[in-house]
Amino acid sequence: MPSTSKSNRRRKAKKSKFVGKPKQRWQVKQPTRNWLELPSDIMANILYRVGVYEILENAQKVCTTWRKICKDPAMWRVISMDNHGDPCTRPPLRDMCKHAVDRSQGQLLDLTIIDFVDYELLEYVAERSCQLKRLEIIYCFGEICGSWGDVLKKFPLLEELSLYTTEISEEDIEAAGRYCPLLKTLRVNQNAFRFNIEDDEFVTWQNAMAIAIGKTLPALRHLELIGNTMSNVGLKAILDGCCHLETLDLRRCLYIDLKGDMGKESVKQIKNLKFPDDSLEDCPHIHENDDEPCDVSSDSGSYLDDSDDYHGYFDYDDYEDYDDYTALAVSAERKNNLLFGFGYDTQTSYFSSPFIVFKLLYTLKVLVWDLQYVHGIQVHLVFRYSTLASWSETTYEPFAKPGCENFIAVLTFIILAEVDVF
Amino acid sequence: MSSSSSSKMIELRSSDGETFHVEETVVLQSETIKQMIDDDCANAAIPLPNVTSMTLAKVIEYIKKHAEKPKDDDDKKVAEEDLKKFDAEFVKVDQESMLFDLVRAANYLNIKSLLDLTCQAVADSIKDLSVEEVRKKFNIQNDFTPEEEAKVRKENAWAFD
Repeated sequence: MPSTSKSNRRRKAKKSKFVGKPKQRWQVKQPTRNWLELPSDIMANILYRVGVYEILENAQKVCTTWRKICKDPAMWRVISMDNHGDPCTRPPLRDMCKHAVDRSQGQLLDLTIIDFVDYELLEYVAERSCQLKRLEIIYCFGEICGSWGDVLKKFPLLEELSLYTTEISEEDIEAAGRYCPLLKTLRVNQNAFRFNIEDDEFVTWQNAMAIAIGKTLPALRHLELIGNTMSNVGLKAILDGCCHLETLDLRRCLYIDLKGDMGKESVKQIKNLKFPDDSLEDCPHIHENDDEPCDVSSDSGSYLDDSDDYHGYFDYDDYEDYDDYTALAVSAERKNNLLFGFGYDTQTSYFSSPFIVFKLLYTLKVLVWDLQYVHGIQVHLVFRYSTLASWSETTYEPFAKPGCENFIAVLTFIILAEVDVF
Repeated sequence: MSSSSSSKMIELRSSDGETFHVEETVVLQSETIKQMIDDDCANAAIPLPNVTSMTLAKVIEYIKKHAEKPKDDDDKKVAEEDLKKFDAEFVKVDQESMLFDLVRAANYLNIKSLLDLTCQAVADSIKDLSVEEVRKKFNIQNDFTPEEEAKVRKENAWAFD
């Protein structure tokens, strides 16, 4: 073992030669490796990184050894699925996700779903994954909002809930407080908008989530509320209620004013505080909003376009997923134009308030943002309204003034969007 | 022992008898070697019977780069970018066998970041391949019986609805 200083010197010289220039030619002559000799945990580490879709479609069919690894529930404790496909050729991701959850045999700990979750899928996961610790949902519009409670009560061990441009109501937050006692990290991040309506109803709504968090989630350590509508009232509720908070991310919370005492108090209490103006650079899924403020109370605003130049109509009857509140979907693809829209039934009590309309527009705005900045699709909105009965190409009138009075007066309004795909 | 000195060198011996001298601070990224040093087994050359000189040279190149410390915050960002580029280049090897050897060495030496990097590189190379292409690339025999193959296909019928 012990080597003389002489041999050391010799070896040193050799070493520098090796490090500097690996001999590529020599490498070619090396015998091929037997990949099946790799320890199965290493092979599992590799296959896990291949991704759910590729595992189910290809990797598990290569040989019996890989198949065995891909059948092991341990392989499916962490599932992450992203929908980056073309909507037309998209694989049945929800079915695949269910299959992956089945394979975890109740051992699922960590689930990330980007852009294809629906309530049914989430319910399916909830029924089978009582050990789940981390859940991340990106881009889910409307349909789960208000129903999170039924899902969250199946996740008693949940420690981290991350939602990006995904709606959650204050009742849902309360449910999280009730059913997920171990919840330490909450992210409800969205693209920021400023609204012109500042009536009492708005003031109540803008802080509702923050107040619910302060009231029901006292054990939180990390909280991200990028783009939240809360004012200092909501912030105070959080600071008072969540006294263990170490991280608080208030980026793009446009209604918060940290210049005065509130700012001092926040800095004092929170070890890692992010301010409304801080850079969004390192934040996934959220984008800088350079638009004009979202404005539904006065003039039509930059995003309302009276142009008649659009390629087709949203067909109310063909819209299977129609939901009288916030049904939104890409409904058709016509050549290179995507057409989408949503209908809103004024017969229901929801439509009694201009405030709901404003929330609805906000949801639409989020969707448009998603299309433009995530999927790179240029969007032009064309707003129209009509009663259902008279809905046809010739009889409806464009919105002249999309003020609140008009919204209430309208029996049904249909929003059309012409989407030009680059 | 003079372990406090930053320039203390550790000697590593590859499976084919080549020796390499690496600073202790650099080599500590390997949990396996760290354990040996902690157990006082590093007074002589540390034998690494599972790692060839070729692979060990690559591993040392990697851990040396990853041991570089940025001077200040400005430097930190540049260094991070630089390291990313280095990592991307590092796994661009001509031969699958080199990647295989690196995965095995990273596993044996227990260098987590290198294991992650190399496993990801292998995974990336599998991603867009068909079953047949994967078999060819990795020299794997199809050992399914026809019955088993039919079973696998049936299980995935949903994918072709």
